[in-house]
Amino acid sequence: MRAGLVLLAFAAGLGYRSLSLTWTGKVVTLLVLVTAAFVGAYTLRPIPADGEQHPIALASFMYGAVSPFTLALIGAVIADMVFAQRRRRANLQ
Amino acid sequence: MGKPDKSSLSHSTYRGLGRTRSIKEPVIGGEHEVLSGHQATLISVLRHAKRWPDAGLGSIFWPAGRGPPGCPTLPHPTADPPDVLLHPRPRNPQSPGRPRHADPSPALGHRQSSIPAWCAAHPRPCGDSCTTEVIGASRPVEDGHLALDPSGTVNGMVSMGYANGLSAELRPIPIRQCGRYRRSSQHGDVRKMTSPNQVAAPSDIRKGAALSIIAALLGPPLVIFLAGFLTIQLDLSQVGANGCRT
Repeated sequence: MRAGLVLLAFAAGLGYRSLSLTWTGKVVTLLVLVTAAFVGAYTLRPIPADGEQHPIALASFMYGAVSPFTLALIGAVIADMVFAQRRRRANLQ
Repeated sequence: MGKPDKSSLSHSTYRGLGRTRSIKEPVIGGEHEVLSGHQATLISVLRHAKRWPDAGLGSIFWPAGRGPPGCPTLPHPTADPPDVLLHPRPRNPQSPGRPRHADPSPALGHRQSSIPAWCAAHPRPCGDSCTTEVIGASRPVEDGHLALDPSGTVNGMVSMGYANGLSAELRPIPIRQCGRYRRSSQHGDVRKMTSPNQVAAPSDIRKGAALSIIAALLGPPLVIFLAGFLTIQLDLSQVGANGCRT
């Protein structure tokens, strides 16, 4: 499972690099990730009591949104946007 | 070297990036199809400098040791290239009183900055600037030849041969690599353009932007779902038969 998460991170990075070509795409990606993190955090507060059942799909979304994996993705997108901005400025000079 | 053969000029061969492409349209005078950023630069500057007809440029090739076999070779740069930077760079090339396209004769050695017509006429999908700049002549190039130098990448330099045996180097054109944009052409030989500095058609740009936004909307939820699913499975795998975490 851990290897699966690592592979997923690689796939997400590669997909982001190949598909998110425009500045708008990067911003939308960041917004979706941040929104999901907030929604997931509020959904899981308070922490569900023992015995409360959740559909596996919904639980996957919630736990994925609040996982460190999503936070790492948000950081990666922000870093990419910062570097892209620097490259753009350097090219314009 | 004598006068160039016009017929050979109208079907010059351009070798770069491991591929061979043909220029079907005449590259001297008249309208032509711009094939790549390098060639656009080249042609633009050649037009700008208006030196092509005088230079007797008859062929295009890679520098010695870097080009494909069979290409003519360039003389190696001299150890002490002649300093032809006769004049300092003007502070504001667009200032009034100075013609935008200066006379080419004194311009050799000048640093010129202008927006070529090619840049204005073609979309730049990545939003970067598109300028050429003659930064000075530094390298001897055989008379009647044109050297494309050296890497074939966006940051490669383009050298231009002059009749007096000198060349002018151009600043790289900062056209960013635009992923999978591909520009189609009606000319059969230039259909496949995979040069990193190729320019996309407006429809391709719109298509690429739409694809990018769709991917941005669909990709993160999918990744989040998979991450959550794997996280849950990881948690479950750590629960033993007695219901306790192992």
